[in-house]
Amino acid sequence: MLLFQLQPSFFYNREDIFTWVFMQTGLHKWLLNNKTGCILFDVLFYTTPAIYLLHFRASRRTAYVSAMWMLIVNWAYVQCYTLYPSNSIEGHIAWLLFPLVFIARKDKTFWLLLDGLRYFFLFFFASAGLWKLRQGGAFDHLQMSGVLLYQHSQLLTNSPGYWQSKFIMWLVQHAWVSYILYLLATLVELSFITGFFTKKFDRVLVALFILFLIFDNLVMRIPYYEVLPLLLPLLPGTGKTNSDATLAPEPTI
Amino acid sequence: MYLKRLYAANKWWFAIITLFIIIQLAMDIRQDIMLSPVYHYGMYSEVIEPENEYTVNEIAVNGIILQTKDFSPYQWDKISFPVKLFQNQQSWDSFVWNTEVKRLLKLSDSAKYINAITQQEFNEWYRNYLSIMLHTKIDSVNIKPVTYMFNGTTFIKKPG
Repeated sequence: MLLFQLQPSFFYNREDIFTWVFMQTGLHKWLLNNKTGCILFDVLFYTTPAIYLLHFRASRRTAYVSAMWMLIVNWAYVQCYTLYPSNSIEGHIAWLLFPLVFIARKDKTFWLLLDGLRYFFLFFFASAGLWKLRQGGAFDHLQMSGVLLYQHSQLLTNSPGYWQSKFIMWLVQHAWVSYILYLLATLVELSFITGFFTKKFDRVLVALFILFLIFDNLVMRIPYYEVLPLLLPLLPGTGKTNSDATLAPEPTI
Repeated sequence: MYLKRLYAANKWWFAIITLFIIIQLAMDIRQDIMLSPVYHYGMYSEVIEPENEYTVNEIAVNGIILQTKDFSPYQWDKISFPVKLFQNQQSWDSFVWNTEVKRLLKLSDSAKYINAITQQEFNEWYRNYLSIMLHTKIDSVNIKPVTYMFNGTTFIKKPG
């Protein structure tokens, strides 16, 4: 993710009230055809976490100021980046939310916010499954064939002899096989609801999500890896610390 | 319970997180405009059935049509998205401005919401952009929307 690589020359609006207010700053227009501006913003975006780290090491008490700065920079960067022809803002949600946990001034609040991110991630993925039930995709056996044709129309028409095109076309023609794949993905998404009641299966959920990302890349050609940081609160070590959050000692400042 | 623990630890954060949850639920029920960082995570949840016709952009560089197979998903998105979005940006941005932004934000100047780029400027920009992406000198770029009929097993190019 680099603005410099996008070299934006136009933007594409979205239906988001926050984005419309943000667009009043004019930052997204200033970056159009502005190579220097894009490089500066890239440097700012990628050095901000390091600045936070240095600040945290120097003074834990005041590091929240750098964390807030990181939050602002991330928001501005992601807002701009996704207004240009790149990909959806939803896929960058980890960049938007993760800086929040570093704003916490006490260890206990930090762990609780990290736990909050865990719940958010569970909702993020489980809601995708619920939407499939609500909007009907999960009840139409031609759904996955339709999705594959929609998603891969360019690949299938300009590279028909390619192994992936043949594989996708096979799935399209075997509608029930592809529909089962779609249902399995829906079930995987819905299985994240269990995380709201227990942390016992967090490792399984992490494995399922990684599997989902791999299939998303192979079958859908959608690289959705930007959301990977949201797995951190589910990792074994983090989970243990989370559950002990209320017992964690206050930092000695 | 998580919110109870958060309330005991920090009432400000409790208020922020609770507000986030309420907005998320409200937005999911209303299903219309978003409010960052609250989004819908549909991921192809609406019904999409196979169609009889598909229109795709054929992008030819120096007379040779680019093939999706030769690029990673990241690279292909970078090649195809600008074309697709440019074709729609004028009507989409105008639509969003006229029906929502102007009304909700009580604004009268659309300069920050509608692009001023022309077709010629885009063509020039895209040629330079592709040249850097493909690491080659580009003399010509031709973009042509082509319609294909899908008969259930194969795509057949529609004449004309």
